[in-house]
Amino acid sequence: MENTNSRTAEQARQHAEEEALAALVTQYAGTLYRVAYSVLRNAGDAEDAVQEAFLRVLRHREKLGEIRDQRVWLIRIVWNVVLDRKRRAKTRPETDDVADLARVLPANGLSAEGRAAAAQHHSHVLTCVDKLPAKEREVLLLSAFEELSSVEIAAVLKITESSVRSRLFRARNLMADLLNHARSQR
Amino acid sequence: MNSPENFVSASASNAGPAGDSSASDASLDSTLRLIARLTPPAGLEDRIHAGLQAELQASRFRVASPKGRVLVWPASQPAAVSWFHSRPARTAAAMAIVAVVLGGGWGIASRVKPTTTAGGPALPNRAAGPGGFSSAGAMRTPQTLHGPVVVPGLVQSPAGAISPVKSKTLKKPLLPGATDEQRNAEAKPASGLNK
Repeated sequence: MENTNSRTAEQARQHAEEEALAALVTQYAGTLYRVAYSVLRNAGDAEDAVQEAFLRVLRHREKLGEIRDQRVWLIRIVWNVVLDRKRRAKTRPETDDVADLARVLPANGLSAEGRAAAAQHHSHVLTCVDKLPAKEREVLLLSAFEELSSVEIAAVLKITESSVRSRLFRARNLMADLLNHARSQR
Repeated sequence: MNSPENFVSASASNAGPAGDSSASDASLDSTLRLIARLTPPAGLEDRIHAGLQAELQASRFRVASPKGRVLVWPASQPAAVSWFHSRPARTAAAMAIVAVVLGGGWGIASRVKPTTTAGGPALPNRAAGPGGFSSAGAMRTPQTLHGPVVVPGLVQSPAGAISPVKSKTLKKPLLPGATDEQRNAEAKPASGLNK
């Protein structure tokens, strides 16, 4: 009798965990996808990274109840997954970025040529972003997300908030130099 | 004013490019915002749900199945042969192995006789096989040479040979550092001859 009760309680607990996980997927899959895409610049890779992040969550689902800020926790997981993948895939041709950007660009009344030009421009800006030092680049990419405050960026990167501010300041200055230099060369 | 606080507030709140930001800032912001507002592909959540369900099923199967072992012996052996793993049976088997090894060693040691003696090296005995050549009892005798025969009275000393007695009278030559007495003693026999 006691055995049956404990088995039922265990099943109920598992069911609750699965429900919580499903809710997390519904709520944060899009955010995690965008974070992954900002680094990987490839739709398929970004989706795979999100899937892998949720699989990691599934393996540690018993900790879900202890997590205070699940959004930041999930973003940190997907961020680590993305950086791992980026490290493994050493180089990727830049043309992939442009083609993928043209595919994901919103069609705001742009012609095909306009979309291609916009994709080229964004790809150029992202190439300059890639030239930034890793610390500055990470902060800059995360700062673009509406969902993340500087405190949350600090939590994701495990640094202080003042470090986030100073790195973002440096990143923007470096980006201005890079873009102005590229513009003057044209 | 370009300060870290301004950049953070502008980007974190995403209120658009700052009023004094340059064209490069504007293009950077537009690109970053484009990615930050990207629409996820259709069916993303469904695919993730499906992947999680598959992983859950796999994990349940792993939990339900016993621990995988490459070799399940002897756990899967029937009870009829389990006597073999009892302690007395193992002890008896070990003692039997030891007895066989010791008995074999003793048998070999008792049959083989030592062929060497303490005096010298052992030589193999030539087995007299059937047929072949034999020495027919002959013994080898070494050849001897006839030496010179000495006949008394026929011995002559060769001319000019110095006898051992005369050789005793030979004097040693004077050294450069000889004294006058030695020189005079040397000169006396010569003067005597002249007389």
